[in-house]
Amino acid sequence: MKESLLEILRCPLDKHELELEDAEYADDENANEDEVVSGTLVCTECGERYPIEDGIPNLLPPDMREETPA
Amino acid sequence: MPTTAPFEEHAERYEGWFEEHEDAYRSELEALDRLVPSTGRGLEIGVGSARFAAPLGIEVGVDPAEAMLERARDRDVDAVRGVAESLPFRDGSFDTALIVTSICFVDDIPTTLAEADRVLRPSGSLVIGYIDRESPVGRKYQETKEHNPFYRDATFVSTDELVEQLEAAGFTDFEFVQTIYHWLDEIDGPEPVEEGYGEGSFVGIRATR
Repeated sequence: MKESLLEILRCPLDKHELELEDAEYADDENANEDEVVSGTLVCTECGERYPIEDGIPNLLPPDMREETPA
Repeated sequence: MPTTAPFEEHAERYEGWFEEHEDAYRSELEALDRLVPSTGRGLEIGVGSARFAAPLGIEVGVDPAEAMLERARDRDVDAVRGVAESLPFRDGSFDTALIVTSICFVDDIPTTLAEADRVLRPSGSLVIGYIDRESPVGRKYQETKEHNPFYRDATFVSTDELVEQLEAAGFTDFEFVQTIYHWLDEIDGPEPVEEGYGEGSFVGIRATR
């Protein structure tokens, strides 16, 4: 995901802002902006943690995360 | 839980539909193109593999199925995994919210519409495209849905039902387009796109508030 997407991403539960932790970036010199390939999005309000998997932020509500087959 | 599993398990078959029914797909795309504003930031809810979002210039897509999102990303749409009933976006982030042939898979239409309302700017518009249950294709899908892995758990809606739900959610100023006048396997060439609804099996609605 593009790091700029963070501006509009929110916690699906309480809609508070998310903070990016342990970010790893793609090493593509041609990319216009920073592409986050892995890391964790942490809700600044409730502390819920959402993984970024293969560059796609997983913002499913936590109770749906396990039920979904990978 | 929204219907997710068939889209994870049958991603190839899903993609194949668009290739086998290219004229139907092109007609649906042309219908939606008349409703989707060409400017501003857009979100597709239930983006799938971005077969609609990408050609319509919608930048961001949300879907619960990971296998679909990988394909959406390959079509240069910003992919976010999430559900329609709990959208992971800031209030007022988008000028357009698009829902195409996905309204039949959500668990809760009122909550989905309230969430679309929340993430839209005050001037924003919601565009919904779907197979009308009270149409030839809609009735056939309804009758045969047990045999289709995608539609087994689908709940099809009629245009009148959907308009009622949209009004209850505070939407107004409805504009309708329709297309698909033949059974899918009998379509040969692009189908016309007309205003209104009641004849075409695929209907598009644009609404504001």
